[in-house]
Amino acid sequence: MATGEATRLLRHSGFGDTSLALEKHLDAWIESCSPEQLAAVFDSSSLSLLCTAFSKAGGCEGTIWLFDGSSNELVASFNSGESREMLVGFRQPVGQGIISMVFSQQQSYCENQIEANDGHDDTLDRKISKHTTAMIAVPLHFGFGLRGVVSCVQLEEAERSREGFSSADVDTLARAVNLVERLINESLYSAALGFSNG
Amino acid sequence: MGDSDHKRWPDLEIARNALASGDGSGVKVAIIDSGVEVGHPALKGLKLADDVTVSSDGINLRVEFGEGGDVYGHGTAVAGLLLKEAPGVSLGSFRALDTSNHARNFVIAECVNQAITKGYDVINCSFGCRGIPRYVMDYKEWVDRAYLEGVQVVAACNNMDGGIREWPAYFPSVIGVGGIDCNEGAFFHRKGRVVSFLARGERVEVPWLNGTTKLETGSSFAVPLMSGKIARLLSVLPEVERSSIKALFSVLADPYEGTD
Repeated sequence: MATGEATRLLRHSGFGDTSLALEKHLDAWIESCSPEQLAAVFDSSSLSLLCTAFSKAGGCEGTIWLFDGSSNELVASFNSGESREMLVGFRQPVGQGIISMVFSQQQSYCENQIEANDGHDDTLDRKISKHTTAMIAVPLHFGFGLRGVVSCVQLEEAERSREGFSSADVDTLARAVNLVERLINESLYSAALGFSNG
Repeated sequence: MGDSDHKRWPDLEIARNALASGDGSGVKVAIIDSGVEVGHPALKGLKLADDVTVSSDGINLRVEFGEGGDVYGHGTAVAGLLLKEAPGVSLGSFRALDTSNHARNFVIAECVNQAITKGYDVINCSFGCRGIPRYVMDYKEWVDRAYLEGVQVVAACNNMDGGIREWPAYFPSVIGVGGIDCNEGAFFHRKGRVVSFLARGERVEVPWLNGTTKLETGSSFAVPLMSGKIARLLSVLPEVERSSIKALFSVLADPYEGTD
């Protein structure tokens, strides 16, 4: 039996009636969390997977941005680079920069001419004294909703395996993000239903 | 078949000729996006047929006319690609992406409803929303209205993985488009997929904010290429049966031989 067929049968086995309650419960819980609290849903496996994808996509480092609905900002909640201590906690107002555009469009995006992009907000670059030359950004969904963006960048000051990104690199990151979304969802659903996955 | 039937249901030769010779004249395409920078040199004095901004404070919708401008540059890029593909087309900007993210789906729905009411032929949606069940009706209502009123919706889809749905690209009446690395002007059809059309989405030269031009990559930029092609066909064959456009383009396109 194929996976799709199995899950379809499971969906129609009657337990699906609880999905709406689960969705509402999770939504309320996520909205009550600060981005700092929510960042804990990324376990070591998820972060390791993302870091591998950042590297495989040709990036120097990557960042997880989580949405804070109370302030309408995207908050840098994880960074794989050497300036992570300065970077984590940085708040990007929705409406400014490429990250925000991806959050609004909900479409993956690849920019290889960052310095020429008037839509790029370089506040973060100035904060960490680095220059972003190229970026991939992918929307991040979990817990039945859009929760943020994952970005992967090339920096002028860091070693990189190649110059710029291609659509294949976007696919690499998008597939990794999708796997992480599934891992997080599995943890959230298990926890909400009272099951422990260890 | 009578002459009028041939115009409504053109054979492939007529349709191919229309696609080759049309320039989009007389066809209205609505850009649901971040606005359009009309003064951009690449847009060559573009005069928008409509310039509408819809926003929300989370409770009420606000519709403003003639606001102009682009928030991110994305809508200007889409307008530039559309004009390159179909120089005669009449464009309308319906800005759905304001500086907040409140009630996004309702803002988009209002933009589309405004465009349909104003008589647009094609709705260009270079955006998407993860295909979560609770969002279905937010999208289905206006997608169905467009279908019933003969307006073709063209939408972007992020992923090549058929297992992840996105609205509106995954509604069957919508022409869902993915971006690939291919020659300029080429477009492809993938049989057996809901998001079945592919066009160039890699290293596409586009106009951006403040008169700049850049090379961009993303499915967003493949969508206006398809919208422009539809406009070209409709400019020569305005009587064509709108519900047949998707089927017609599936055979006008080259079959996609690539792997996902």
